[in-house]
Amino acid sequence: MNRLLTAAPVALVVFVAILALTAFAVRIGFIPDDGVMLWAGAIMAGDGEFSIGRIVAAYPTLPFIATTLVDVVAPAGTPTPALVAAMLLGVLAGIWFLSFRAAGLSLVVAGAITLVLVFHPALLRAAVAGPADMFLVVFLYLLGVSLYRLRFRSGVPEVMRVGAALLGLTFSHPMGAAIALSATPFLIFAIQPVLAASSALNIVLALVFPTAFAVGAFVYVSWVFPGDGWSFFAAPAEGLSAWLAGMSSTGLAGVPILEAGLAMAAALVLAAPLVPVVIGLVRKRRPLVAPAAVFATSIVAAAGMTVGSGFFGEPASIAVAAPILAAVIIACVPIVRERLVLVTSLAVIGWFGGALALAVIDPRGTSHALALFEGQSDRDRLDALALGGATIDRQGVLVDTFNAPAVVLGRGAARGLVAPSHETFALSLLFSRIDTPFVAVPNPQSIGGAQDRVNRAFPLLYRNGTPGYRLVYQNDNWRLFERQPRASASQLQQSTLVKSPGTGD
Amino acid sequence: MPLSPSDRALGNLLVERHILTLPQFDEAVALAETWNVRLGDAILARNWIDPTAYYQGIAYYYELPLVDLMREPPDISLLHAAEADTYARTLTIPWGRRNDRIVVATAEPGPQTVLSARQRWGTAIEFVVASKFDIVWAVQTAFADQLSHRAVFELAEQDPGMSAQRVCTPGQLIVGYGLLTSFLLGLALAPIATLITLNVAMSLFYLGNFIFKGILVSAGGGRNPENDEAIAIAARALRDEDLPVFTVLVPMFREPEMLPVLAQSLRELDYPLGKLDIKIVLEAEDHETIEVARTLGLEGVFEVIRVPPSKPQTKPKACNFALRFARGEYLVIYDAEDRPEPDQLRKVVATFRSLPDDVACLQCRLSYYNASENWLSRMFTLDYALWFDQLLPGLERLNVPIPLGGTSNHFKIDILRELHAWDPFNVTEDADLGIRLTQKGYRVAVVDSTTYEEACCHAGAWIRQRSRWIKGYMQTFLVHTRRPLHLIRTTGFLGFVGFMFFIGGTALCGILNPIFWIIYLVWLVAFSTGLDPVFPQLLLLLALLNLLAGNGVFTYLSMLAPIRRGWLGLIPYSLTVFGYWFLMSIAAYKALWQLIYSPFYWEKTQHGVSNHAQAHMRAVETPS
Repeated sequence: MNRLLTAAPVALVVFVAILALTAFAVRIGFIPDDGVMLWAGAIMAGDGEFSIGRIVAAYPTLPFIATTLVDVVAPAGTPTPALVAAMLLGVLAGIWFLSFRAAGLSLVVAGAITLVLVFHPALLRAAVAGPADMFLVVFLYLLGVSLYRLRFRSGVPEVMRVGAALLGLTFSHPMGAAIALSATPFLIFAIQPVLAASSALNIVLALVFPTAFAVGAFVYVSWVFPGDGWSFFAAPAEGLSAWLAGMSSTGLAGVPILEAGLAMAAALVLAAPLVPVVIGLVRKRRPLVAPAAVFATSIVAAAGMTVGSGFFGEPASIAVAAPILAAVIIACVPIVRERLVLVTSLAVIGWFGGALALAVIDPRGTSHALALFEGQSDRDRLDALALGGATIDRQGVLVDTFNAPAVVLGRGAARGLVAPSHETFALSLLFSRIDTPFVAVPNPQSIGGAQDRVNRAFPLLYRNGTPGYRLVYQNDNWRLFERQPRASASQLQQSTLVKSPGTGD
Repeated sequence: MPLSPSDRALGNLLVERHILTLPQFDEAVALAETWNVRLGDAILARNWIDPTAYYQGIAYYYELPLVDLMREPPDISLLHAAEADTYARTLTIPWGRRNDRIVVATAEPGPQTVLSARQRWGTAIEFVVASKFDIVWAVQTAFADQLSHRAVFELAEQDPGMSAQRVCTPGQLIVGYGLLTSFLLGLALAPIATLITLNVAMSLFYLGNFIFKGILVSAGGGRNPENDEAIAIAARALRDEDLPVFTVLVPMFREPEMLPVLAQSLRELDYPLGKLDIKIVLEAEDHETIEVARTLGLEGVFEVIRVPPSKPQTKPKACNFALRFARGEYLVIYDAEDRPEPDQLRKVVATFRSLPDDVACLQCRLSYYNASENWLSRMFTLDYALWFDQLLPGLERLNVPIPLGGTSNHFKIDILRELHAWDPFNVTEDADLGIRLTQKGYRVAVVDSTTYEEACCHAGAWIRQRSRWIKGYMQTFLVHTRRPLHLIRTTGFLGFVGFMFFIGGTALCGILNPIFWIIYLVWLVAFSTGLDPVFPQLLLLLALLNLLAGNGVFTYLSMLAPIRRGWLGLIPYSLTVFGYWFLMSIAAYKALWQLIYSPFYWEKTQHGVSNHAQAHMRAVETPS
């Protein structure tokens, strides 16, 4: 209990700092697409707008369920993903602090290294990216530590821990699934040689069975309930394309798989220089080297596999692997306590290296973040949020929330929106007839505007409006129409578009 | 401890009379001093001489007549049933009257015997010598009816609430009848709501069951191996002279071929043979095994206890009968085909001495030596590995009552007697006793020592054996839920929950599984919507969770089970565990049927049928 209490201040400091950072990011509209979708989905699920089947078939499952649960209990308007991310990183900071203390580090050194690692650029990026990335962080750390324990004693609890880590990774983030998959062939090297020699494949089977079974079960549940069990296999391809485009600007090898692998390897070395140094010091002690090697190889392979397969989205999220591996090494390699100055220095160097590594592994995200923090806001995102704000107190708003989930965030609730999951929405589009009290439509020229289902069904709605509806709100990218009372047919005829920009109610 | 002068003189006499050779005498002296036993115990622990010759030597030394109690049985009028235990344990029995003096027959003449005999029968006594086998036989014969009655009815008479003699109490019948009536009434008045309620109850039970087992495995896996290593070291450090007398009960029935194998396994125990009080417990009608035991020429530490015929003819009844003759401080039960690890008894002694006094029983791990015989033996081994290596240590850590398993449970004999030993009406008397121990304020712990057994490798035999186990679990469940509040008070809330899931759940799962499989198949194959009203979306989700997570978790637990022993070759077989569950359900329904129609019938498992066991028997019979 006393040990836990010593970790509480560290966890609290991290929680508050990360919450402030992520809340600021939300305020300036710097929420990654995945984060917006997750948050909006959580709000919709919390408001009962999702069927249970859709909730259990949601992916990434763990962050979605966690965000939904927190959103249900948190006061309205709370930036739930930021809260969840801050909580996870706070808890992780506490765990790291305790692990470092258990590894023999003094209170001050353990606290300092914990803070340096927790505020590592890659982890800050993950915190801003939202709960999915933070769950990835947590389970990646669990995997790293579990691999060391597995190598030390390949007993039942150790096998269960690795199994749980792989399972958690898979259901935390598409990249987690990629890491779990890419780690599988290398797990043999993390097992005690005696066991590996007797029946290596069988013990690997025991390690990956929970994940394999859970994936099968997840697909099956998605088949039973309305949903798509294969969605997590095909993360947005545009994310990967954009990442590749960003990578091409770095002038790397030109072969995407190789580029990704090289970028990841470089990021690992740059962002966690203590890993190669410490491993070099203990290179003759295989039990201390093998787990780190398995971890690093899996990460590099996952990056390459992601690009090569086209599944799992963009690999930028695994930039977090570097500080995590550094934390694993500090917690599990005993020599660390004898080289405190070296290790602390390398951890600090790793912080600066981490910023550089982010530029290598996530050039697009880095430039985007820099632009935002320099004051250039994300106009599209802010407009969608503003439209959501304009729908507050208005019930029955037909809007494609799947295409523009930020609307749900701006409104702070899903109840009252007629979303694509509603039968009314489907019927409106099927019969090309709008009969809801309100309808919101994005500018077809805006990013994502062309994909909007309402826009595609009513191509002239944004520009001309529709009979019986009048414009009640608009901004640079969105317009909101309200149905006029049916009492007067002449009024219906007169419904026209109000052309002055910035009009609101 | 140095040999007593009388023992040394007795030894000299035996040598002088050429009953014993000088080297044998020297070895016997060394053994007696090392083991801290009487010279006679050391001599009888070696198969050097016919025990009769030994007792002739004793009689000669003490200048007492030697009597054959089989030909000249004791005078019944001098015997008291209440003292039967004492006769058997002290190996001293009043034999007859001569000139107004009581003639006392003893297998252990000496100052201590004279003293205790005078306290019991006064100074007007004289002694004759009889072999311990004769005395034990005489007690069995003289008190056959009384001992048999005690063996069958002691628990039922002394503690009726804990006996399975009555399958259900009137209160349980009323509750059951009430539940059935409510269900039928519900079906008539609100069928969908009633079925949904039933469905919810069953789904929650499944959910709780697999979560609980997962917690147990996690807790059991977290057992500190350093403690086990410390016990192993402490066991090795125990000096022979400090070890107590250990009673070993081996109940057998019509298994004459197993006797040589059993004797060999017991000889291999790393425990002074002179401190083993081995009772081979046979039914009196089992003439074939008795004859083999007689002709096998076993060492004097082996005694045959003949259990008079009575109903129910069960192993616990036989053990209760034999318990009257036990002389050890501790007691263990082995089956005929068991092969305990040699240091098991030492580990047990070391563990008992390291644990608090309220630990009354230690359960060793069980596993199979013929795991690779066929699919069934492999699955059975996985099952045992999960049960004994993961779940039982989990129960121990969480302080949940441990149902003792089959064999290799070691008791403090005084506490066993205090609790009226085993319930002869319960066909898993060991599981019942484990729960009863907890309810009476004692604890059961697990020892890291394995006894290897023979796995049933034929489906028919397996189903018979398993049906007995499940029936016994049903009996145990019914006995201990007669007073639910008492159960909660004595075992704690977690203990109660553990009991419900571990004892009740094991039996109920086998019954419920086929019902859910059929529902699922109908739904899957026929795309039937008829069941939809009974499965509202939330319940459907729970049912799917049970189906997927439940099956996944149990398959995974089976997969983990062999890792502790390094039997990684068994891991892939866990993927076929569904077939094993199917057999389990057949056994469960057979058990339910038998619970109603023949609750006390003992489905005997035939041992020595596997290729491995037969090869071993041949090897023992024809040593190189």
